[in-house]
Amino acid sequence: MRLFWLPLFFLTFSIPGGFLAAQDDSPPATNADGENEKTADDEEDEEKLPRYSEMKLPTAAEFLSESPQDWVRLQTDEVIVSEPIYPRPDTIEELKRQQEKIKQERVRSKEERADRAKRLEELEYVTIILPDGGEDPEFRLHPRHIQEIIHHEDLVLRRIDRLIEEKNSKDAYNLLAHLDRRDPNWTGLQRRHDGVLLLEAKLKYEAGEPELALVYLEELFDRDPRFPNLKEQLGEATESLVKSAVDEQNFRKARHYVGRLHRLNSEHPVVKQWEADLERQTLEKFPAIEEKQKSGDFSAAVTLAEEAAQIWPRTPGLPALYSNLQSRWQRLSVGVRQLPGESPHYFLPTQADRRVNYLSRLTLFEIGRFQEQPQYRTRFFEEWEPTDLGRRIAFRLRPQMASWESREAVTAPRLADAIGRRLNPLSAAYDERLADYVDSIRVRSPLEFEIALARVPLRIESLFHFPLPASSIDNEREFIARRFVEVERTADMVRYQRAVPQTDLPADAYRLAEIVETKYEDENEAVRDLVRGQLSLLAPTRHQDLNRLNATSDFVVVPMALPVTHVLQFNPLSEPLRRRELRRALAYAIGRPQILRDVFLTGDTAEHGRVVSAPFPSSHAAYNSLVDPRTQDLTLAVALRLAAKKAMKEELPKLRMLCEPDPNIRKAAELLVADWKRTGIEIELIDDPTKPVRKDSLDWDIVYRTASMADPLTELWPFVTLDDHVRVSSLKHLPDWLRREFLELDTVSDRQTALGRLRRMHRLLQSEVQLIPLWEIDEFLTFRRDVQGFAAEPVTPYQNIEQWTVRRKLPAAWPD
Amino acid sequence: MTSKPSKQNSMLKISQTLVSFLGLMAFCAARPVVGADNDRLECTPYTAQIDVFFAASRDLAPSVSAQILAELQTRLDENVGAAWSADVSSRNLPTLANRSGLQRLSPAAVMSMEDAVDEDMFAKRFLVGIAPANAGWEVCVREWDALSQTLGPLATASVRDPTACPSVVYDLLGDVFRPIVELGDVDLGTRSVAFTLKAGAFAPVNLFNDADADPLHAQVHADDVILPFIQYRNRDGSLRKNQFLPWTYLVVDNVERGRGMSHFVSGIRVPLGSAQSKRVRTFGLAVKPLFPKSELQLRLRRNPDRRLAAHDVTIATSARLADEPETKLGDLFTDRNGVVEIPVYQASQIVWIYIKSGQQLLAKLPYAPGLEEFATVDLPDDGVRLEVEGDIDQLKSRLVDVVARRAAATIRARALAKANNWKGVDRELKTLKELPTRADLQSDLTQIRLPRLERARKQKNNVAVRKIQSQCDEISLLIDRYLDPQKIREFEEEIGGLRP
Repeated sequence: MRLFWLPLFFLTFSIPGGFLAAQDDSPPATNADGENEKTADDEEDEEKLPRYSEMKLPTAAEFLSESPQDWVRLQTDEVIVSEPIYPRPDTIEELKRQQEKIKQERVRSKEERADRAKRLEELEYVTIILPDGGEDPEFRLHPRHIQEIIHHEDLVLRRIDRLIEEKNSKDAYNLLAHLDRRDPNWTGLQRRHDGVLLLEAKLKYEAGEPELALVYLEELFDRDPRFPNLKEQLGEATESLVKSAVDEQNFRKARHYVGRLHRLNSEHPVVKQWEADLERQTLEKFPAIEEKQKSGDFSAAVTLAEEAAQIWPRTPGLPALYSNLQSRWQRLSVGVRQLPGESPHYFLPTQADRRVNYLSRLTLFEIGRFQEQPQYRTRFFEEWEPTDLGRRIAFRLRPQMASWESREAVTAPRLADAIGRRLNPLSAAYDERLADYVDSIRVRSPLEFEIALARVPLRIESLFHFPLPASSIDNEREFIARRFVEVERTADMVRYQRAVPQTDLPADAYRLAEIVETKYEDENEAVRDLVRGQLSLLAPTRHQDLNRLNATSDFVVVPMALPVTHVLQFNPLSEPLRRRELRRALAYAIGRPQILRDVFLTGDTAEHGRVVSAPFPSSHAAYNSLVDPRTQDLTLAVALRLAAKKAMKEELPKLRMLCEPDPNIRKAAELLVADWKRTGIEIELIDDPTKPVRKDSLDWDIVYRTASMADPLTELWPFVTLDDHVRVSSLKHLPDWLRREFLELDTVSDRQTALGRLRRMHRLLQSEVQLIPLWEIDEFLTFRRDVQGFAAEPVTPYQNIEQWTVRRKLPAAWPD
Repeated sequence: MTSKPSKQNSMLKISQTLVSFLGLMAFCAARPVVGADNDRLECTPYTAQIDVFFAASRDLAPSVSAQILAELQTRLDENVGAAWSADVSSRNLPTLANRSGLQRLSPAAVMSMEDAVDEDMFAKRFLVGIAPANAGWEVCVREWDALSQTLGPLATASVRDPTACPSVVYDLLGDVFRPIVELGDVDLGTRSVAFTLKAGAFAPVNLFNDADADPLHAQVHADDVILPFIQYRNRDGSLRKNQFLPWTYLVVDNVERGRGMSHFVSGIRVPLGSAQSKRVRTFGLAVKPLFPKSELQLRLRRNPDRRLAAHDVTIATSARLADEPETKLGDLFTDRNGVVEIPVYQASQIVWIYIKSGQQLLAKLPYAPGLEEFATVDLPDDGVRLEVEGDIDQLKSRLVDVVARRAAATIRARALAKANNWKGVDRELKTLKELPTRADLQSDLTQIRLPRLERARKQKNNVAVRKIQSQCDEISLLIDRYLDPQKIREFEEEIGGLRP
């Protein structure tokens, strides 16, 4: 090719004027040139321009790897391959248009006229640059000799057409992208793009990926709704997806696919067909719903109605039925990280256990608010009047219960009997502290009883902040007053219902009847279900989701009144950890701010967590701000470890740490272990969740636990001693002077002294390293707007839950 | 030099003669006292009255009551022989027929009963209650000792059929019977005490070694415990008072024909051995553990309402001699009421109780568990000293921290100096200077010491004052030793010498 072109340049284009003249009368230039060429150089006689029919369309790879070239098809049907010719596209027409434009220009001077003539002359010819054309590859060709110019882009489009025919969508896409980069407005490009989309959709569909096919078809629809075969393809893909979803009984998914087609074409036959089919399936549920409703099994009726609503919420009659049932039997769906009681190997209550404790027991006095200190209230008593300088308390029960209350009615004798069980040393519910305070109980009337106290407590309410133990005849229940009871449990769901269901009330008097806690391993999925309306409450909500959820009007994010404090505690039976030096070494070895940041505070949520030095909230009035958290000091930690080793006169054994079952806690524990390893302290995490670890065993040395302590005055003792109750015997492992501090704290009777003693206790615990407070994390709950009645800053997630209302709306017909 | 003692001796003799004469006069004037002659005591049989109280019940016909009394009298007559002179009679006091009635009974109430005034009349009085209980009958027996004027513990048993009562009552009489001994010579070196057992001469010799022998007959065995008491009488021979020796027990070693040897175990320095006279004599009651355990309550001596909760109590075997090893029997912990439950140990009827408060031993006492249900121990207030112990613990922790930090900083500074990193050396020197100094810690110690000393002095608790001083002096020495500023100066000079 190259040799063939060289003489042509010399003979034809070296003297452009002569060529132009010759061109006017002579046969097609190529022939003439060819003849001249033969005359000039017999050796190249055989080399001719290729004919158009002989031209081979480059492959996709060639297009992508080689420089672009245009084909100039001469009148002789021969083809000159050129570097891209400009202007483009429609080179010849564009030249003419430019000529016309120049001709219309007004010229005023001789110079301008000469310039215009020169420019017009330039536009008379198509400039062709021969690829690898040597030193002077450029020449000009009069359009008269050109049958057509096939630009590189058009060649690519031709190749794309062939690729579509060959069902090679990959190369076709590559060429489309290539063209799009060169000139996204090239005529024919969009059409080829559409064609490739349709091809891709077909291929995906044939490959068993109808959802991807649908995505391509939707894109194609957005580009050209009338693209040939698009409607049929859309119907085919949607049909396949909906059918598969219906077979899986995933009607939300089915509606989602139908909805996607509906958005494109509401009159599409597939849409119409499935609307009718789903409606039929929904209507089939109605008799069962009505039957359950009539039999009073509202829970089952609501479940069926929710199932029906999931199939086709626009079914006639369903909105009224659904609304009635939802108001009669209000169900709260809660997304949780962990279910209560699912970690039997961990002997302390988990966050889930603490959350559900509020449901399963009703305390005589409970914490209603927390602002620097707890504020108590009670469901049971109308008044509690101290007399005899506080040594006698007359309790008067509320004569009536509110319609929303979910507890059983109690009388003064029953309450007095329950309190008596807490005073009986032989009872499992024995409360040593209460027994120490109470001298006698006297029932005055069915609604009144009086308690004589041996000494005056700091607060009556905190002394009676306990659940009422049931007697052995109370159907084996643990407490006589409960809010909700567990009625169903699966591996990832627990259902609770009111201990005493509401009946025969006006429609607007009904409150929450049922709670369904669903466990989510993947928190992203929990957030997704909250957004979709499948959950009404997310407890707790991750910090990184707060801004996103707060930004929409569908949700209310509320902060918990108490943060969750993370604490390390030691086994009193562990011989090595009786050494204070070793406990101090453990405390100095860990880099708490770093772990807190890396594990719990991601993004810009740094304000939602802080390193602390006490196991109770830093916002509590008793928190001693003069006690700073220990900072990491590896040298000191090593020195203290060596001191402990010297005192023990043997190598430190490998210690075992038990963690509260939570992925984040586990991650933090691994970092703690790594920090300790740097100072030569070997600690292994207890991994086997199937093997229960007993509290009073040597199976563990350190436990990583969490707490939300509202009233350290009453809660600190059992917390430090890892006990359920306040028991003097549990102080045995502490030094005598610390035991005495606890005993004196327990008998304090004025607030200032109590605060002073607590602050002193904070300092002593920090110094004695009886425990290592790590950090506290702020917790948040996210409610959907359909939940009403929750506290603005709750102490526990389910605070006042008996008063909540949930009015779930029908799901959207076409969910996202 | 030699004349003076002889003069003193002659004076002493005159005064002794006078005292003897006066004593003889008084003796002649006084009424004869029980057991005034030791030779008579072991030959003196017990005179006993057994009062049976029947509860008012339709199920207990008068004929049945009479039958019970008669059978009991027969059983006593047949079994106890010459050692006892016992009369069984019924009394119409239904309130004493049950457990609570007898439990509530006080010595004053017994003494107010008719026939109970004169101790000559009955050495022992057994109060027997028979009352219906739980589809059967409950038999309760309690002993009154006229010599010590004390009531013994209550023993109870249940029977289905009231006709079984006599044998059960007889057994219970043996359980509650507290034999009387009079103590004789005391050897403080070996702690041995001779004693005479009332009516002991009537018992055959071999009964002493027979553990299953009738208690009313055999009275005491080896290792039995005797509670000693000193009896003071007036000139007219009437009883002035009986004083039981606190935390003092005798353990029987052997007995033969009413005379025996024992050794004493006591929490006080010289409990026995003071000269006896006709008006001041030392007796004892041999007692058996009737309860499986005893509750011991620890209280503050100055404020008995305040119980010592959460205190460590260690129980160990009782060693007779100082060089005998003790064996730890158990560690106990006082509850919220300051109470520990001490079980009866087979290994030792008398145990030593160690009561600790922190590092301080508050008391070391002997105790015979099971003799009584409940007892109290009054102890000094150790609160202030304990507070100081806690604060000193904190200070020690700080001291360890400072010493460790100082050591680490000096090691790092030396290493940096070797590596010619003088910027690093300066940083470490600055760290050293910023560490708390000896003066800082001494000042903290003063803040611990002074207010607590003042409080202890206010409480007039000299033991606490002494202990606080000694604890503070100890830590002060440690501070001086480990935080010597001279060492820092020397180190700075050493580093200065290395600096180019």
